[in-house]
Amino acid sequence: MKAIHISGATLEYKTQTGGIVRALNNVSLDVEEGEFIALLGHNGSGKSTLAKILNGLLIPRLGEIEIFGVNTKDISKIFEIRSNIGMVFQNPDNQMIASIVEDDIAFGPENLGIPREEIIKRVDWALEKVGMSEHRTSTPFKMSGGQKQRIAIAGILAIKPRIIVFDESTAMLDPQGRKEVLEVAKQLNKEEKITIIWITHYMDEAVDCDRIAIMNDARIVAIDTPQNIFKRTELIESCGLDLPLPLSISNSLKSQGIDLQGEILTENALKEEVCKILK
Amino acid sequence: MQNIEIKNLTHVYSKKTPYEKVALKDVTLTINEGDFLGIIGHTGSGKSTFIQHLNGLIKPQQGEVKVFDINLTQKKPKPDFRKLRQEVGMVFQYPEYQLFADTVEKDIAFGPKNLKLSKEEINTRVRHAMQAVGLDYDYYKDRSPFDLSGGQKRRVAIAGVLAMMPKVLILDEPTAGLDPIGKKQILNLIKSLKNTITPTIVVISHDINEITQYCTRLVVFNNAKVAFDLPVSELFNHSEELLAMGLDIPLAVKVNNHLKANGIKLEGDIITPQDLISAIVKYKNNGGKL
Ligand SMILES: Nc1ncnc2c1ncn2[C@@H]1O[C@H](COP(=O)(O)OP(=O)(O)OP(=O)(O)O)[C@@H](O)[C@H]1O
Ligand SMILES: Nc1ncnc2c1ncn2[C@@H]1O[C@H](COP(=O)(O)OP(=O)(O)OP(=O)(O)O)[C@@H](O)[C@H]1O
Ligand SMILES: [Mg+2]
Ligand SMILES: [Mg+2]
Repeated sequence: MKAIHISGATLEYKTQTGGIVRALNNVSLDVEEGEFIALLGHNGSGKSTLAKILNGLLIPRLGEIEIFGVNTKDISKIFEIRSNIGMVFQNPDNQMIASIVEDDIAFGPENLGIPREEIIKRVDWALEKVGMSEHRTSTPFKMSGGQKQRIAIAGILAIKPRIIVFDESTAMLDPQGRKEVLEVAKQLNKEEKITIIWITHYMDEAVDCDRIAIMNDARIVAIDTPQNIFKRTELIESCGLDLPLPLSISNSLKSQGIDLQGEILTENALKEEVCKILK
Repeated sequence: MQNIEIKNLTHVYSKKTPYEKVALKDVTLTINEGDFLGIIGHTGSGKSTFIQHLNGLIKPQQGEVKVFDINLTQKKPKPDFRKLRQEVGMVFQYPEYQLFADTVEKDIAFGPKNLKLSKEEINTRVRHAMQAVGLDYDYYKDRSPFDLSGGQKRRVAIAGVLAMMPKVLILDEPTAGLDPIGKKQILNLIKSLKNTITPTIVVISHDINEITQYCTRLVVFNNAKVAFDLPVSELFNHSEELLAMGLDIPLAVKVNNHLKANGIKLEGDIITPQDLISAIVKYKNNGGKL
């Protein structure tokens, strides 16, 4: 079964002066369970809007969305959908509710009416998954951005969603925190088979996902493997995006006659290939 | 000289509560007129707390803060905050906290209006500022800033500060949440402001590859203290220490370090991608000899 099925989604916002902004224009997308999809696109291209139609926060004017076969228009199933999809946003402060970590994490499952014993199990499990078990009784307000973001993820995990959308969840983190959060997402994807939608403006975060989807002016204009997507330099440029830094360095070297081998998407590949060619 | 001087500044949040937090500890730093200063440091290291002292958003608890001839430590007579906010423009880390008006135009015009400028002048400034951050005036002027996408909000927040034409510009993570084109626009804009309106610029960033493209001096915060204050060309001699602080070093430095470890010595300072590319090309063309 597909984790996500979107067909022909079109959505407009009304502006205060009576104008309309089309944020989604006939968007279709299918995501298999267990896939890790990176969603890239310029500011205002519609990424966050796409995220919001997945859990029924917004219903598009046209088109259908199904999450594991359940249509988001089906009001009677809205709880099922919301408990299947978790969202992690940019500012971890806005996602903290309680002043003790374990209460914060228990909040979601409590709202779903899950029995106390089960909640305790889930809190344990979620904290372990994000590597924060020893912070169970600390206060999230005193933590670093990366730690707060991991607590936010644990809070989402405790709902046991089958899909998690990360909407620029690393934008405010230091390099260490960025690494931590991306690692947690990858690990959840591998070990728990959780389907991941990873929205970002950092191209290097997208290089080892399963597929990259590119949004441009309210449409999905390409969806393919990182290798194939980043070969399409013109497309990347015309969508206002960039190549991952190792690739743009290696392209530039190639154009100046340095004969590097292969598509160099990562730091390690760049180090090795440059070393080889200079030895 | 129009310097900013900070001496032995200490700041504690929520003093005498269970949440007490020392955010700055004995920080001494001079920002010179004409500096292009970058501040890096792990999350929670005190960067935002530090810069909020520079435009009076946070009052010094202990230590001294002097911005030009405005002494922020003095109680009487009260420091001239009006003048301070006019001279020191600040773009906050989370732009949504900076926006308040019901249209984009009013939001950006707010500062210049307070300066009692003419209507024409205000309008010119708003248009220029919007153009500078890549927002089409006619399309966006009547939109509500709260209904914009994340990156669009940030552009409005930056435009609002630009319209004040401050002497010192402080930007807290100015490109977080911007798309690659927006990042380039803002970086080019910052560079050109430096040469025209705003001689002194301070940028906080977690993106080391970006900040080393334009800053000439880097200050590293670590656990509420200044750990390094060095020219960019010298900082990465301390790569190991920076990594241990959870910070990153530029990709070009990493590649160069890897080459060094393998007995390949490139010529010159290598910090930016351009440095790396030209050094590799040169090395290869000289057949491995310097
Ligand atoms: N509540 C709203 N009212 C009106 N217009 C809106 C609203 N929310 C978003 N928009 C507009 O819809 C478009 C898509 O916005 P969205 O937030 O989905 O973009 P995004 O791709 O997430 O951008 P970013 O990278 O900046 O976060 C933008 O042009 C935006 O201005
Ligand atoms: N209003 C506040 N009340 C209590 N503690 C605070 C407050 N603001 C910040 N802190 C704490 O003070 C410390 C320094 O915070 P600050 O925001 O200056 O760090 P930063 O270096 O800007 O971090 P980041 O890179 O995440 O933005 C952190 O531990 C933070 O949690
Ligand atoms: Mg968004
Ligand atoms: Mg900060």
